[in-house]
Amino acid sequence: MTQEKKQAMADNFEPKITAFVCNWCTYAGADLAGTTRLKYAGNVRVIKLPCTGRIDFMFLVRAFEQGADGIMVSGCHPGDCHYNEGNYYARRRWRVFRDLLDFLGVEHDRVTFSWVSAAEGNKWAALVNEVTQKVRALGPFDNYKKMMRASKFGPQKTA
Amino acid sequence: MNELITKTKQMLHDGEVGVVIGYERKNGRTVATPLFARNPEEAERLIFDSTCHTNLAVYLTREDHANLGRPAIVAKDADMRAVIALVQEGQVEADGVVLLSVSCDEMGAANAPCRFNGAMSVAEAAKWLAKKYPDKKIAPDKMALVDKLEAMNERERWDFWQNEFSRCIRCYACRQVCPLCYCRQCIVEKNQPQWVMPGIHPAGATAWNITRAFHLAGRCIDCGECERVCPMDIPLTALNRKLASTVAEHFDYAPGFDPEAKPVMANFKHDDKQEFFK
Repeated sequence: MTQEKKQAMADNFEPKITAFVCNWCTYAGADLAGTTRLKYAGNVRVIKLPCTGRIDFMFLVRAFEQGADGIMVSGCHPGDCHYNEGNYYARRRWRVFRDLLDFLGVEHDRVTFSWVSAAEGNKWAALVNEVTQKVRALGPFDNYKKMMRASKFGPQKTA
Repeated sequence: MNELITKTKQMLHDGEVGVVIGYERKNGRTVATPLFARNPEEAERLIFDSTCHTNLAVYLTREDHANLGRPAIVAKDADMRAVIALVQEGQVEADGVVLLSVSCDEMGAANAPCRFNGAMSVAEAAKWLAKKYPDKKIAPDKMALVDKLEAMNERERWDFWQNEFSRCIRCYACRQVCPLCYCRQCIVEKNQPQWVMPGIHPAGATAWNITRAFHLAGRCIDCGECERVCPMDIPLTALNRKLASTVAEHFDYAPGFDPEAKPVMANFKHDDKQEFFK
């Protein structure tokens, strides 16, 4: 590949962002962003789960394996959890997992954690734009992609 | 170690315990072999020296040893922490085990002085540990590799760990030897869906090592057995110690000291810091 071609590809890079969101707040917030006809970056793929407490770190690992350049994890504000305390447990878990990723050499900006309530459609739209910008600046997650290519069996499809 | 043998023989004789899990020297092996002594005669074979590496707490959660009766277990400091951590997680009854506390000045060194500190209950062991390790911190010399890696940038850290993980042959010895890895079915053996790809390749090795480290976050009692048994010399304890220091820094917690304490990841405070949440 010529240098110009490489440059052109980098310029046109559109990051793939996987968002793991809770059913009760952020998903409803994203829905609100849609019904209020807010326009925001289309790079995000939303996966709805019951609660941030249900988001296992393996989901994030799998997202990277399948080619995500960035990840968002979002749920109810503390105190607002539909299950009372799921997001409090999640908050501890992500604190530690974030440190582990950093220690393994994954940039902090690849994974963004947030609280977005059902009323915060604007916040969601702005956040997706912000994350898209940040991940675009970081570029494709080549480290992980290279590792997946080196793996004999390649990325595995989920059943 | 005559005191250890005398005490064990008496405990077995009195029926205070059904089995003593300790160490013996078998076939001249350089590392001591676990011994399950069920009567005073078998207890004669007990030894303790600087080659007694195995963390015997690993046997406490094995179903096949449950019918041997109440166990007494020869335990170094880290092994006692493992038992307390198992009590914290509801895997072992606090009064269901006797700890035979031993210590060695320098594990692995020939003729290093070793001591028997007496038989202890879980509560007594907790007190003993609290006195010996008042700040509950990992010794700074053990943090050398963690500090070195933290001084690097992300690219260098990624390359470092990929180079280490590239040697992983997925033997799971690190898991087998770990007293806190007691799940009867490990996530790597689940295949619907297959969370961790089997086989020897970078993606699976990375996913496995992330999983192992994170499942031990706030639970690892730093006995270092995983790294000792790793046939490929992957510095696994650096991952564990990094997460232990995170947990200590943010949640002021160390596992295996207080049998009454709730495990840190199964707990929360309303005012846990959250500056990294948008």
